[in-house]
Amino acid sequence: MLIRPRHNDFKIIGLYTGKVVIGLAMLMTVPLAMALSLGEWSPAIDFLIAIGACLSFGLASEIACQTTQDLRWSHGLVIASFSWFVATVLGAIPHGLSGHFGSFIDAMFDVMSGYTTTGLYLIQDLDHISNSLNMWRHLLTYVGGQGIIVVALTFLFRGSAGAYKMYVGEGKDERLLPNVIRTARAIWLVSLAYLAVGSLALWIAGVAIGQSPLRSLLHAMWVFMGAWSTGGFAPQSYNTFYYHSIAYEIICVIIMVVGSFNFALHWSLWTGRRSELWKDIEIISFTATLTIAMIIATAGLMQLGVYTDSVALFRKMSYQLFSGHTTTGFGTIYSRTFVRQWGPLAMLGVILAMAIGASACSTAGGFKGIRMGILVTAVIQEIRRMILPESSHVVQKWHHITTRVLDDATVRAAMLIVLSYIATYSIGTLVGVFYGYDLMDSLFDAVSAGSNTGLSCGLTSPSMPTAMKSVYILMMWAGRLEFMSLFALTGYMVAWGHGR
Amino acid sequence: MTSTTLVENATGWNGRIISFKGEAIGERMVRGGMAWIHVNDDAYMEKSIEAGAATEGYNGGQAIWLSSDLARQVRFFGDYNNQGDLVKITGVFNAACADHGGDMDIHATELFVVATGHPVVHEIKMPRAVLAASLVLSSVFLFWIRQRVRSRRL
Repeated sequence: MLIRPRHNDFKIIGLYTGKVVIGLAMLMTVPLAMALSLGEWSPAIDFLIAIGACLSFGLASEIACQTTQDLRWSHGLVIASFSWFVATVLGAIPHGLSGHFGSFIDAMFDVMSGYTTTGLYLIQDLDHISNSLNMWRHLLTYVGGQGIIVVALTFLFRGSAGAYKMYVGEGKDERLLPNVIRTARAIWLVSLAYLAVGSLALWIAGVAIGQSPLRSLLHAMWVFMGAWSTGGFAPQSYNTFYYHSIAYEIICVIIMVVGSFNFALHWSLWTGRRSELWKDIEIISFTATLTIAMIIATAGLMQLGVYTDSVALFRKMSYQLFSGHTTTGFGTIYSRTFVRQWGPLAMLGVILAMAIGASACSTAGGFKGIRMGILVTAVIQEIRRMILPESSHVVQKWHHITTRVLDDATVRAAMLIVLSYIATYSIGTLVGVFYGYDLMDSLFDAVSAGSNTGLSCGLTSPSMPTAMKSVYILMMWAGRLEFMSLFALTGYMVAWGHGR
Repeated sequence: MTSTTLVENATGWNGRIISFKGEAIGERMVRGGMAWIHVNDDAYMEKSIEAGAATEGYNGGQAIWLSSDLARQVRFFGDYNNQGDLVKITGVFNAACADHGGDMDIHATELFVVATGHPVVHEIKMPRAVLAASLVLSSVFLFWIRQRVRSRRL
């Protein structure tokens, strides 16, 4: 029997959603400060409107929903998904007011793409937008990579026992430290330290390739945010192709790969356990699947003779593959080049990389390496069972931070999430084909949206049907939160309508 | 010649001399005696959204490799504050340039400034300023109420 949510349940959801939205308003002060310092007065007003709207909503929610009751698991999951939705609507105000979007749903598409670190975009005339709006785009994706809830936990929560439930609702479940709020702060510590180092490296590279110091600094920060969060946004419409520099590309690849690591792995390395890098199932899985995807893509490119020079072939292929597999979405080729030059086989290599994605509890999307590793380990276990005598007891171990024995529950949980991703990719592909797009194009962009990658073969555009934009928004949302929170929100809405 | 035509049939145009017209955007990135610039031939090449154009799709253009002397002829590069120079480029199109790591580019031998760019004036919309002020005031009021509600609970 479904139990209808009570008044107090909504108060809890409203209270914590309000807090998250207040956190969003605090974030908007960064682009506001940039707009004021660079004399971008119109965007400054747009950000003031958005900040006022967020604060009004957040404070009104807090006033109306005062409660001392702590969260249950269902609350944590629903708050995570609902606050992402509200933050998308309110976060899209500066986008919508900029005049660079065909509709507000396009603005919401870009904001959801930013939060979910996808990188697909519908913004038009990107090359003429203000620096402050560019800062907001990249800040969204940087914060989205760590998680909006993680931001709120870091700055706005004090010792709530229910905080962990919201943290899990955002698709993360690893505690770096015993306290979840300290875990959230540790995630920020790691991210800010890398921001400083990564931006400095890109800044130096930017000046070396002929950018002015100020533009280079801004581009360095934004490109770092896009790479580290595996978001894929870049300040120019040419994406990272704009820089025409192998040094810039190598730095980007390093940031993308490091950004796609599990935060728990980062913490282990920070605390001196460097051997984790060679033992962790996610790293082994990532290396193996990246190699396979690269072989497929190389075969496709060689078959069609796209690059006559082997260095050029390796440079282009590896950059797009690293970008795809870390689910970043940076590109050094035009979107349509995938279709017009790379061809189906190379595209399949990229699709495979995007679908699998990188690490769990990271900024990346896709199935995640840990689940691929678990499923492959389960297959090995089954093969061993078949080969060995019936009386033997087969124990299969896997290593992620600690060494564990593989059990059925772990395999089932991994399989459930992988199947959910496959279903999401399939739905997106079907919708694309329904609207008359080519099957391969539909598959490519659907996997890109569902795995929060952001590479496109040209299908995603402001002129695509509104229903398809909405489906992609849902896919990005579901993929980033790894489904459970959205299932919980849907269940809550059903229970509200039909429960007793 | 448009950038869309080049991207859609890159192999067909590979190695051919082409002419290409569009707005110089971003900046010039000088590398020794040569430089990179980017030229957009999209719907915004004569008037950007910031200058008042309607939304008409994505940006589109080509990367141009040319001598730094030619690149210095460009005065305005398109961005938020400027409408960039409208330039006509003539050069060799490369679908996957071996000299530049497989980049699709045009090695330009000529650059002609068709129309000089200009700064873009951004007018402040008063109704938006009033809305912003109202929302900020409303936030201050709600903050005051929240503090009172909290202090009563304590």
